[in-house]
Amino acid sequence: MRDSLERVCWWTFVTCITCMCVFGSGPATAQQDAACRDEVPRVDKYEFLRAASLDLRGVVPTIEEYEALADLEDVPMEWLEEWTRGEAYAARVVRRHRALLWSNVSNLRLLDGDYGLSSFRARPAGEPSFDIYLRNSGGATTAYRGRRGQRCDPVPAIFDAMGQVVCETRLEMGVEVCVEGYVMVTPYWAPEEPIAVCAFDAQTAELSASEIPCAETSRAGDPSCGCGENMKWCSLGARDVDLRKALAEDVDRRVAAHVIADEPYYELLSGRRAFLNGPLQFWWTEQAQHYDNLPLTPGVIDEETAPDMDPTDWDTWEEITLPEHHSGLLTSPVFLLRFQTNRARADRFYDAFLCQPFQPPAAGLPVIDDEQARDPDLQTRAGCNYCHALLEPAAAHWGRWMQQGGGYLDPDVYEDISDECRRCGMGAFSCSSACRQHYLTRTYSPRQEPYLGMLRAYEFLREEHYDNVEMGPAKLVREAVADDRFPQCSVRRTAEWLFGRGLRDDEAPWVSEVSAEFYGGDFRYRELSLAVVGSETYRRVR
Amino acid sequence: MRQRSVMVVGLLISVSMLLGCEREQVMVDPTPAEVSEPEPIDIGDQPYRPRRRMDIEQLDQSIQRVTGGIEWRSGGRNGFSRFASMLGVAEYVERTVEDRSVSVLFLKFLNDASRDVCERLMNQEFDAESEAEKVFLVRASVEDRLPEGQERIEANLRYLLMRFHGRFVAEGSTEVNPWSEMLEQVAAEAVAEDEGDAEPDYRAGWESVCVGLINHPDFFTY
Repeated sequence: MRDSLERVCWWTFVTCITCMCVFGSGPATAQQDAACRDEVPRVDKYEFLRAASLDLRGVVPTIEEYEALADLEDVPMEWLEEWTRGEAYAARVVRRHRALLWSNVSNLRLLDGDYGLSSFRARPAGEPSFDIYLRNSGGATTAYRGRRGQRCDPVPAIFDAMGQVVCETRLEMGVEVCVEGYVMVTPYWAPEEPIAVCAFDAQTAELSASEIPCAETSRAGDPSCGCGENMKWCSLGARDVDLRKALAEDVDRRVAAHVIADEPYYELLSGRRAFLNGPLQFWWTEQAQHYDNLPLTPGVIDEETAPDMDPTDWDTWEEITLPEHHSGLLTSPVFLLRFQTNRARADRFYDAFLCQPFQPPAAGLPVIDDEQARDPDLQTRAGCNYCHALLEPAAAHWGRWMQQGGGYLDPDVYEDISDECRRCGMGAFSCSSACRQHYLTRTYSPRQEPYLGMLRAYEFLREEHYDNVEMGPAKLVREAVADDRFPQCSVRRTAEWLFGRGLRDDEAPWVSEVSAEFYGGDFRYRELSLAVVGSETYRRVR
Repeated sequence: MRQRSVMVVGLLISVSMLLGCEREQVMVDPTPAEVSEPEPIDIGDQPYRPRRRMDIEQLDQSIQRVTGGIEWRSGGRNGFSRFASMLGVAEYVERTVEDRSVSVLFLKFLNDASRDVCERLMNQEFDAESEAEKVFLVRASVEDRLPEGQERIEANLRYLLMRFHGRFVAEGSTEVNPWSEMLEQVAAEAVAEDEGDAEPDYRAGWESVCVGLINHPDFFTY
């Protein structure tokens, strides 16, 4: 028992000292510093193999790999090269890019709540009970039946000679309602299992009674419009969650495919590859246009060339080529929705891929007077200009992508200057929603007036930056590659990932050296990872 | 006696040093200003990388690899997925940087994970019908006992240190001693508590070795 206590004491002592040298985050004394810094051990071949395997494959080596190393002087670089050609390495790079792109939109709603379905249990006398589905929004139930929350009756629906739903008028809770029966429908999400749906909700008309397409959001409260053929405009709640995951998986698949194909790194941010599964394809073509709180159409995918896929198959993915105006991950729906303003989009790109975070100076921002505070141009307003002189023209690269959404503002439809939007902004008539959303139609300062009727991205934009709007984020990427910011930052970010620490100023020469190799090797991320893992710094561990 | 005094003094020094660090670590800033620019650390004249804790995916995959495919199960699902949020995994909506500190909470969950997988691994090893099915007791058998089976047991411990920690231990090295002592002591104490004068419970001993290997910093850091 005493021996055990002694052992505990000894191990506690050793562990404490080890932890302070290895993980100690508190300020160490000068003596501790010196003790810990005397020598930086170079890890042996086994430990190097283990570390490289964890970083490049996400798992420790197999016992067979350790045993194969026994007779070798060191870990053959061919082993590491082989690892970087596998799917496990691609998965690590995917994971790394989630950390760079923050690709998660799980806090958003992709499907319009007005088209969400719920069900209630019908219990007809002498027959088995069953579920009847209906649109659960208060607006829909009121539009169809005259009272919020009013359900249909659990009886088969009746139709008149014109094929219109017949409803029975009566008083419910003191309100006059007109209640219909149900019909059997084959829903797109389960074609083999017909369901009962309230007849108003199950209407399949493409046009409303007033000849407006039922697919438009404005028809959400129109009693002559329903869920469409096979319930195509409606959905069950869990589908939204799955669609959000699928959008994020599209980004993961783009990164993985890029790594497996060993393409130049910058193409990840400027290429046109994307992935679709059946439910995503169905959502883009039939449902995305419904939700004008989060406009994602037009232009995200080319609906005419999109493959015809099974809307129930979540697991089959097809690679597609996006329209020309796309710029890789920087215009992916997840990126545009995760960063919903053009400034936020530019900020993430500058931080993650150019190592230029927009941050105020350490000494703080200057105190400004009222006159300076009234300057509407953030590029020149004292204090703001510290970041915005650069951020505004950078954000303009996303000027043709909707903010608080992700649709593309095609120049053929949305001209740089709209006479209609300028005139409505001057009060000639009320502005359309397109003018209000995408053009400057209200001014708060005389300095804004020259921009009235211009696409919002042009507000205060200098002429030399107009190309940014028209050429999109791909231009930003091209320029950053050409002026060496992108290669240098790629090395820096990769080293930070694999070293697990920030780089010091005196490591800049090493960054430049590896950056030159990265450039010369046509920007292969795989080779960059190997250069970092193969470096002396990686072999020294403390 | 002298050795014991040295140990006690050493323990006191280490505790006082830890308390010194503790005072400085109390500061809490709930809104870190620089999430994307990790602070460079002083790396002296010879640049090095700091030893790091595995991320949760690496830990999950590595536990499965060293145990021959046994994953931590909790509440009917993968335990690391179930407790991802508490384990500091970034989901990039509210948390954009993964917490890779060796926190008390991390050690608690790692302990839970190791106890779950090691118990099932021992069931598998002790019920295996052939040697080929084994991944843990590869150089020793379930019947081996100390001291007579010392050679085979030490060979197995060296094998395990390689399998779990990537650590080559030469034959005859004293590095295996703490592990063999733990095996022997737990085997003896496990049965003493349960059945009085019955045979040492080597199944419990090997299970504790497994738990110890996973909870050791040589496993979860690199």
